[in-house]
Amino acid sequence: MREGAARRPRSHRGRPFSAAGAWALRLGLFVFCAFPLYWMVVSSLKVSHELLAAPPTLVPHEWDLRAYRKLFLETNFWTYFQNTVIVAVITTVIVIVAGVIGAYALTRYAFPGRTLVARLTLLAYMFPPIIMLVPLFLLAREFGLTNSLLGLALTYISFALPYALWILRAFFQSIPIELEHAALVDGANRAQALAYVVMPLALPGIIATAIFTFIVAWNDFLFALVLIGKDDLKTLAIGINDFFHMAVVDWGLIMAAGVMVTIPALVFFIAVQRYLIAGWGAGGLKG
Amino acid sequence: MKRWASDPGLRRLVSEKREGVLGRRAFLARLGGATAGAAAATLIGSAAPARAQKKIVVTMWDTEPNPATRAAVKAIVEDFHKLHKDIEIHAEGMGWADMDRKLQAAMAAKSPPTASHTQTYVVTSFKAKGLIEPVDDLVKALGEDRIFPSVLRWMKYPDGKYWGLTHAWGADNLGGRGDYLTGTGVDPRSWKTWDDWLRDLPKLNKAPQYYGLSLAGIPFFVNEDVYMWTGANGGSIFDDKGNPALESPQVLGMLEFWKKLRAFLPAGWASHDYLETLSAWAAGKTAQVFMWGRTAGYIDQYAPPDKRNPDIFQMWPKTIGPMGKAPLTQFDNEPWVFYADAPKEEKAAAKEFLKFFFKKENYRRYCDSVPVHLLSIFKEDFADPAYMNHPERKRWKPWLDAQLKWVEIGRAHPLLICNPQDMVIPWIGDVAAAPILADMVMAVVERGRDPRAAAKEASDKISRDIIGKAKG
Amino acid sequence: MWRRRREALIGMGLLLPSAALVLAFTLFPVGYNVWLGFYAKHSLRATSAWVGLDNYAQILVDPDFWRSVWLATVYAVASTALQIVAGVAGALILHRRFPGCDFLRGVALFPYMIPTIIAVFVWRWLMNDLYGVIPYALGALAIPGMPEAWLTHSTIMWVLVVLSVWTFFPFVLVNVLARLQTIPPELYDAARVDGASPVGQFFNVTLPQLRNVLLIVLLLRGIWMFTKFDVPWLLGFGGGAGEAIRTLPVFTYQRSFTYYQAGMGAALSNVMLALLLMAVTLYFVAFPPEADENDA
Repeated sequence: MREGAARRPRSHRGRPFSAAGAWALRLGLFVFCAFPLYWMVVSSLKVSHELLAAPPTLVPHEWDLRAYRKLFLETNFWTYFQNTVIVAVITTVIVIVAGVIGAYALTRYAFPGRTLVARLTLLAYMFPPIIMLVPLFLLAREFGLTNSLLGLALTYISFALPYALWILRAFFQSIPIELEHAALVDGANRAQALAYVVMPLALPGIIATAIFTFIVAWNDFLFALVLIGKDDLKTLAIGINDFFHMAVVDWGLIMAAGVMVTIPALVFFIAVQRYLIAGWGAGGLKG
Repeated sequence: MKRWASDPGLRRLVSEKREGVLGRRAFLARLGGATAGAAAATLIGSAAPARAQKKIVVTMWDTEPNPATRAAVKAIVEDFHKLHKDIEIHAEGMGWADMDRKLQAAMAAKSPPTASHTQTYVVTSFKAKGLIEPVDDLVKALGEDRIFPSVLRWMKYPDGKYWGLTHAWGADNLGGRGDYLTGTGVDPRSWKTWDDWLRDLPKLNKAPQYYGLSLAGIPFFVNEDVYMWTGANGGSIFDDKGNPALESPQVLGMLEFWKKLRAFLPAGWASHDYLETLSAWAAGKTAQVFMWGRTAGYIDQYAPPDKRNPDIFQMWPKTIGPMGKAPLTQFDNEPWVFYADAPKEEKAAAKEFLKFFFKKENYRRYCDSVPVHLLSIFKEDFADPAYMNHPERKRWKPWLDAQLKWVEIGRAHPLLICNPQDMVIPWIGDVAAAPILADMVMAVVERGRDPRAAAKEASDKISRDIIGKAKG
Repeated sequence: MWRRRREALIGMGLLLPSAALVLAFTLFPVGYNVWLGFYAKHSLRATSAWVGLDNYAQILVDPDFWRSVWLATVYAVASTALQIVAGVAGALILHRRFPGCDFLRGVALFPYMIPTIIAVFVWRWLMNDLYGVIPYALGALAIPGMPEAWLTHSTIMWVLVVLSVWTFFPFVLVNVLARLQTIPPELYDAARVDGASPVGQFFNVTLPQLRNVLLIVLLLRGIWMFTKFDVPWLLGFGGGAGEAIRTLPVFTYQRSFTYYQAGMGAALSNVMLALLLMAVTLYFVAFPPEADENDA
């Protein structure tokens, strides 16, 4: 990526393409992506009657933290937040540990059926969650895993693991096997080669995969909707959905919840977007 | 660290396990789920002392998740604990839309709460399946004579037994903006029929500044208007065998009426949630809305301070259809029901708690948490100055009177029950959950379908997907 | 020889945990679902009866099913096409470095990263007919024929498409961006020597280079949009104006959890899976994948 950045100016030298035009496009992209975010933030900060005023005000005339007070003092938002983190962490740990070992095996060892496994993984990667709705619900019921954060995390494995395997496999493939051979020739054993040669190179891809796995679990609405009924076990997605249907709801509250979920994520993603783009580009999809 | 003995869910789990109700697999899974591991360690460490304590843990679900009511319930529970050290009440509030499915799921998992609120039609369905028990002892202990007949009526079934005990009641009303009457010459008190109402609606519609009427388009709430207007048109959505009667002239008349109302609704009404209609009224975006006493909270939140009073937010009469004799409104009357599968001593403890709960000083705290909506089931309270002089009840007195009127004339019926005899139809709950009735309305009102064709299609779907499956 | 066998055994051993998990949590449920499709089964109660192909027979003659397939198709085609256009455009904008480039890249990823529920509720709020800022702004433009409200039967599908494009176009953007950065600049130099205009360069150099990545993105996004549940559900709640976006996944959910017909829900999922496999097969016939050297 860095390399591409370095040589790019050459390819555009002397282009009559106007700088103003480029900035206009960048601004357009910015507004398209960021305006809903902006609107969420200002809506969460307006006093109630201004929130419903016509015409809508672009900047609040009167700032108010009422929605946030209500969010933290009168709802179970913090519980939902913790539950979501727990489920997402359990899912990510299981998926990444199993996925890294599995992907390494798929790319570094020859054994019969390897191609078939890879193809099945791709197929499973494409399976949409809705297809597994009924069987996973009935199985979770059968095993007493409804109303259970662990049960929820296990269902997320059903679609997060094939995805992680697929991405990690492609990522390991992009690491030249010759590097490991060289380490082995130099007297390292397999484990050392893995620890000192492969892992450092694979780390950005593993981080990217972990982040995406986390997001899959963090964002899920469907399975939490059908598997979780107890209020103290709800995740953010269904907790916020309840805000919409409950007798205490208001738009300011929903927007405040949105802000509280989004701002940490946004800061985080601006910080790691290099990994995401590099990891995704190199591992997720090979050209 | 959280001791397992103080966690009712866990204690229940352990006692179920001991009694062999739960298999090991289910026990471990639910244990893992309920506490995510951390509590498991304490469980092993402290199982012995708990055996000595042996508290009775009671789980009660109600339909009042709003913070004020939660605080009131918590205070009542704490006071009860002081008197009954051997009982622990675990009271959880949840949204009404949530309740049906959660109960169904809990029932299927054979782990119902000890007692819960539910809709009248669910009482009927559970009763038919033998999932609940009568509560005559509880009702008699409180005194039948003290309770409004209109409340008792929906608790008592043809077998002469009470199958539920209403926690509090409220009645749906047509709310109207008094300030929007100025200069229109409209007098809502003169309205008797749908035609009267339709005649004046254009004068109350100043779109896009504000609309004549706001209705919710989400299926659960469309159901409400369907049965209220069908009832007000002298009909029912079911025949006397409980089969759908949607092709009846009363239902078709209701659909035609709805088509005419469409001109006075916000253009996006079909995606509005019921709560959005309430805030629209409070914010001045609609002249009229079907509302409950809890709307007072929205008014304090969204209306300008000088308008937060019943001169602006008035009660207007509901009207009758050409085939009807009396208007019909929705009765908010979820009863407490007791589950057959719950252990005996839990149920006895829950009844003990409810007797405590309905004592004047405690019940007052509950009712006062939403003063104009959670109305007392006891007639005597409405003659009690202490009850009537609560500042909110005084402030919204016209709202209180309007609700009382429905109870007096007996035209407040629980959801989807047009005729009193419909109350024993066991599949109304499934009709309520399905989007079939709402689809029928949308087909006619929004997609211009012929009412008769849409009604036939809806009838067929109810017969095929609900009654057919229930019988089969 | 023994060494190869040992290698194979270690490989299989290492693969075992993930293979077991995929088998247990992905492939087994899908297989179980095929079996469930032959039953009339209540989602919550223990009632269950073998009905053979009845579920499928009922599905095929149900006009509501066909309508949901049609709506899902409209949604998938429109939202996928627009995502690809927006994603490629966004990638071209972000391709060259400029001050604030990293920041804007982060912002452009943002819609994909926030929970779906937030994305949908923000758009419901933006598009609200009474208080929403977008209908207000569009109304102020006073364009004749502009709808007064957008979350209605006739227009809610467009809101669904725009909201989905907003949410998912970063997926396309990132994949295209990663590929753009590996295009050798020499290709552009050569094209310029041949006198190609910037537009000509895009069509003659960039697009052919992006072909493979776009094909894969098309496949994945097409499948995922066709089977998307949470966005149409949260925008329409399955009824009211939401009836006009009752796509196949929403229809399947309602069969399973509002009618509690688990067998029927399973059968619908199987139909969805069959449609998906057909689409994938067609896709691979039309665009055969290049041989993957590691799979040999």
